Amino acid sequence: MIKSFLAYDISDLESMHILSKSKNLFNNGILEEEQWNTIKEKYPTRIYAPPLYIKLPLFIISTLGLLFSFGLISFIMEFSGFQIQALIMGPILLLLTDKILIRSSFHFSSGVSETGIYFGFILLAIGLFGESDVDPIWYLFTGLFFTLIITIRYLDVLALIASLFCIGAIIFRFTSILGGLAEALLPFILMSVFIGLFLFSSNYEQKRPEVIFKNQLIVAKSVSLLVIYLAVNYYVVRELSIELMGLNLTDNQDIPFAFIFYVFTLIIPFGYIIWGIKKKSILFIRIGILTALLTGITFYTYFFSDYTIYVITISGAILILVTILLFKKLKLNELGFTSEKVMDDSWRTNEIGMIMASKINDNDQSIPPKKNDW
Amino acid sequence: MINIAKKLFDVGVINEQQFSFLELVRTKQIVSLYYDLRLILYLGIILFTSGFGYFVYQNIGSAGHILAMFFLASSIAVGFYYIFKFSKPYSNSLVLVELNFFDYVLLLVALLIITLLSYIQIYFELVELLLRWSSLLSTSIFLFMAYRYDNRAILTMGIIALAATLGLSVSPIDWIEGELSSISNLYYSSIILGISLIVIAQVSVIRNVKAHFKSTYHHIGLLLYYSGMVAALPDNQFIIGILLILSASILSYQAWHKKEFLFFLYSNIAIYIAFTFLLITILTESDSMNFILLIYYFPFTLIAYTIFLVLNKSHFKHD
Repeated sequence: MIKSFLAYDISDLESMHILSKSKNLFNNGILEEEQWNTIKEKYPTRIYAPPLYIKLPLFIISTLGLLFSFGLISFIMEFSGFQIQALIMGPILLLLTDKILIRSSFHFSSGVSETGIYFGFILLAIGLFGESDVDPIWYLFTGLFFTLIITIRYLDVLALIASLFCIGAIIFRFTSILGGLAEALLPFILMSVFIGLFLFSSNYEQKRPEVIFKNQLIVAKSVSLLVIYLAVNYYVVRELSIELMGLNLTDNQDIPFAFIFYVFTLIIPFGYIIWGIKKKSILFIRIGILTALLTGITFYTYFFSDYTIYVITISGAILILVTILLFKKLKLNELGFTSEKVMDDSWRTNEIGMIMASKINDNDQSIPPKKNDW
Repeated sequence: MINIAKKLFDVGVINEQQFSFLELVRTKQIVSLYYDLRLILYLGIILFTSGFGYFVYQNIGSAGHILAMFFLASSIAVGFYYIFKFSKPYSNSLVLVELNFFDYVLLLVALLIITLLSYIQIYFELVELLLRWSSLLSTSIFLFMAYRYDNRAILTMGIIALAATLGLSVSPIDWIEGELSSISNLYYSSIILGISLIVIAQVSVIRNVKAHFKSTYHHIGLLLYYSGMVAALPDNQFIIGILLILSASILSYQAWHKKEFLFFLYSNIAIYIAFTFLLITILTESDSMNFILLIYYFPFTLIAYTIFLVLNKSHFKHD
């Protein structure tokens, strides 16, 4: 059902992914030029997906062009209010982007297509709501609906992040409306919902073989892990309680049940890193490192803010020493981790990988299948 | 998830050895933390040098300054010992050192040298006297290290220090001497430096002396040249404007043929700014109410340029 809703051809998308991976292998010297040329012939794609350094200027220039055009069109359509103009222009822009840029010209995340899609939906939202005085939760539901459409139909990663944000904001708004115990339990409700989202994404990734959703699922899992941590991070809970819920606290005063949040702030990053090492998941290790840094900043803010220079200097020195030690220790750890670059810049592959490949071929002719993708 | 390696192996594009290697990575029998460790190391270097530099600045009046300078000098000495031990001899072509964090030690030593020089200047009250020379000294040290040890990050720092030498040595010194001179000659320095860097880029390729530094020189040179010319526009609209349009057109044509998208984009933006500036100047000076043209000018030109880039998307595509 989701595949039929996609704006792109599945085979084009799969070919694009195969070409992208193969190009990376060719640039790292894993594939020979002849092999790379063969892959290009076997898996042609009509999709235009430029690299970031082309996409970003295209996005900026097309956005500026569109904004100036709105001015011109508003000047021409001066007989009608802005809400009506938005209600007319939004769907037209979406239709033009979908039919001409995406379906006919096969633009995929080209910068120009994103300008059309984002502005089309923004205008549609303005056209629907205008200056009406509805509860903010309806804006959030509309935002969630639109961002989900963009995520599924156009495989847009930014829209996915926006939709996850909308989910969090809706939960926050609901608990604010309910008040009392619901408001107090907000961190744990958020945590539970995003644990659910993470498990759903992991499960979906294992059950569905399509590579076309790979990036979206990685982003969904990463954002979910981050929100699980941030929902119970002491700094976030304390400051948002003061800002959004009007809690009155002095500088040295703790929030209720502060101890629980301090414990979560401390153990979640290390839990991620340990789980990442155990399951050899780079995602968990990276999110673990990021959340460990955020934990450091949290504790610095409340306990060591008078010693800024010492904290920065000593942290820097510790990080340098630890990474140099790890570089030496992780030449090839028994757990399978290495500090070496597995795919290096030279034309031959890294010897470590080739030695291990030859050892595995000696021991077992068939490589044991694993569900995880690279 | 689809196994791309298996798919390529099944259709006979890759051989068994390649497939085995790729399966090692996919099945996580080998997981590389190379980029993660480098990122943390970079963060550590930035934190340490920032913290220590600020410590030096804050404690300049206290008794420990000699110890601090001694500590800095020792760290630099240890760093250089490490660099000398693992570096390879100078070569005009690309030099690669197999050691994973060699370039980070190089960066750390370069930053510590600058910290020590600043410390000495401030402590011995040599700032005003050496203002012109300290940037030049930093430039010399960075450029020497960049060429000797083949490091583009330090080359970038050296070029920026060179720009600071030309920029900062003019207005602050004039101001200290009591002259309220304008900073207009700064953009001439920017233009001249920009042209010089572009020429150096070409010479390095022709003479094959660190030809791989060309993109760094070309990039910074173009930015300096264009920003200098754009800054000079209000003072000499027509001459600078026409010169800018002509030179940017030539560079744009060159970038088009070499398929260098960023340089092509920079040149186009410079042409657009110069042309728009001249157009607005003409409209301002004439008494006619032709400002209505601008309402159509901006959207049409921006949309037309977007369409042009999209229609020629395959030109800049690198396989």
